[in-house]
Amino acid sequence: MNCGFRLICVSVTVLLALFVAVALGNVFLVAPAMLSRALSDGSVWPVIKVSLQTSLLAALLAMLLGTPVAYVLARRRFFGKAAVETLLDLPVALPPMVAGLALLILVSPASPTGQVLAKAGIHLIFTQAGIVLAQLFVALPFYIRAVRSAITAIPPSIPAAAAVLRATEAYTFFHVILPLSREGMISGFVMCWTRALGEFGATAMVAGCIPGVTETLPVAIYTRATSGDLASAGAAAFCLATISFVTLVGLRLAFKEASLRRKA
Amino acid sequence: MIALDDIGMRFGERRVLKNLSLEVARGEFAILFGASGSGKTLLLSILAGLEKPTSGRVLIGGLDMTRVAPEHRPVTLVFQRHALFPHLTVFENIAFSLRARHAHRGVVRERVGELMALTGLEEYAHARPDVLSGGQCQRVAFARALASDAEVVLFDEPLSSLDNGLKAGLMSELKRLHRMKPFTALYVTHNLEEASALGERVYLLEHGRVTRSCLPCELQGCVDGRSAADLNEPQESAIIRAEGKRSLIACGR
Repeated sequence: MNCGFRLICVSVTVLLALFVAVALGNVFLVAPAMLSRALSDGSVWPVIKVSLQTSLLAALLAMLLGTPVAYVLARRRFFGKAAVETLLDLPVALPPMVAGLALLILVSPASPTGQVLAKAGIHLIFTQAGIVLAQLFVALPFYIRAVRSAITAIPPSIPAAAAVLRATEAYTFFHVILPLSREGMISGFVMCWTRALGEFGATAMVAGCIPGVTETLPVAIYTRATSGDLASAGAAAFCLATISFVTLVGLRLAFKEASLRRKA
Repeated sequence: MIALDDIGMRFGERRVLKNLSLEVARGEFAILFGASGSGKTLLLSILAGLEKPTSGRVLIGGLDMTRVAPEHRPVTLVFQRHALFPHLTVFENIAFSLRARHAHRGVVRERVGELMALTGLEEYAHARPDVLSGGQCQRVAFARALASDAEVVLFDEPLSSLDNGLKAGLMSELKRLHRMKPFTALYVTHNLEEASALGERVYLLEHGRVTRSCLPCELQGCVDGRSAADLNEPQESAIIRAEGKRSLIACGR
């Protein structure tokens, strides 16, 4: 009985791992000639640049905005907290196209918000700022979740000790809460960044696909593959998958090293 | 120095502290003696400002501090499980309060050095709490509390998790520290030996009230043959402990 159960579990694990390996293998095994041609003709580099620029900026903004939000959600009790939490989590469950449409309506010149933004000289439709907004919208909950968990894991007696040692809440936040949540912040940043990097639906809705301006890697994969340029689409997919893979492996190694250092 | 005036505390329908009044004179080492879960920790949280009482007033040095934030009270607290900052070294833990008050670097170095010498921690200055023994951690907690220059030091059963040998050593160390720097102390315990050895006056907490006070030498007779567990309904203990933990979270700290 035990043996059969174990066999089923192991078989399912092996089959799933094989499925992922074969599916992703097609991306990583893109013909070298095809890849070098696509990279050398220069059409992929601007796409990589736009993607890295916007996704890193979105992740940095998520860090800046999400950290205090995560702190409030982890440490404070207030009326309507559950509603606020659900609202902030909603972009995770929302289909990206719906998120994109919501943002498009919000910032379109016809809307009151769009008119205020236009008066302030801020243009979000078909711009890189629009990409950052869309990426931030869908990726922010990932950062908030990771940091909130890290802050919740700090025993309440630690910030209480800081308070009775005459530290203000702000001092405690910067000198106790943030250092103790560092791992959560790093993993949240990386999750948020990779989510932003891979964002397609909302980005395409808000910023469209202007080559060299608003064309990101996922958008490029879609437009080039649907127009029959598989070499270029393959190269873009290869770059995106490589960035994700290297990030994931790097993060695992960094945490493993940190954990070993702590044990030592 | 400390006066609790008619303090009441309820969680929903449950009254944990009932019209509790207590006075501790300046420089006195007072003991609050009661069973586990009788609300002793909650009372310290109220004194430290980590919890707001439902009714009554907290007076420290004659001033009403009931609604004053913990960082603005002349009070510090030594926690039962040390609550040292795990990411800071022994030196940094002790220096925390001084740095939080933006003390000059030279002052920090001098004060922390002095306190490390006083508590025998010099050789552990660069060690992090996770490599220290329970007794060493508690010594860091004592030094850290003294570095805050608080006039009142509250102790929440700080020796309860230590073995008897360590406990005896730390008790005499604590007495020595109090002789050298006569701060006002309120020390919470359910241990007769600790209460008798450390206190100058003992207050008994029963059923959410301070029912009597006595000298340490009279404590055995004061308890009157009852075990500490009899001083409170045992079924309330778990609930009060849970509420106490929740209160730390509720105060958002």
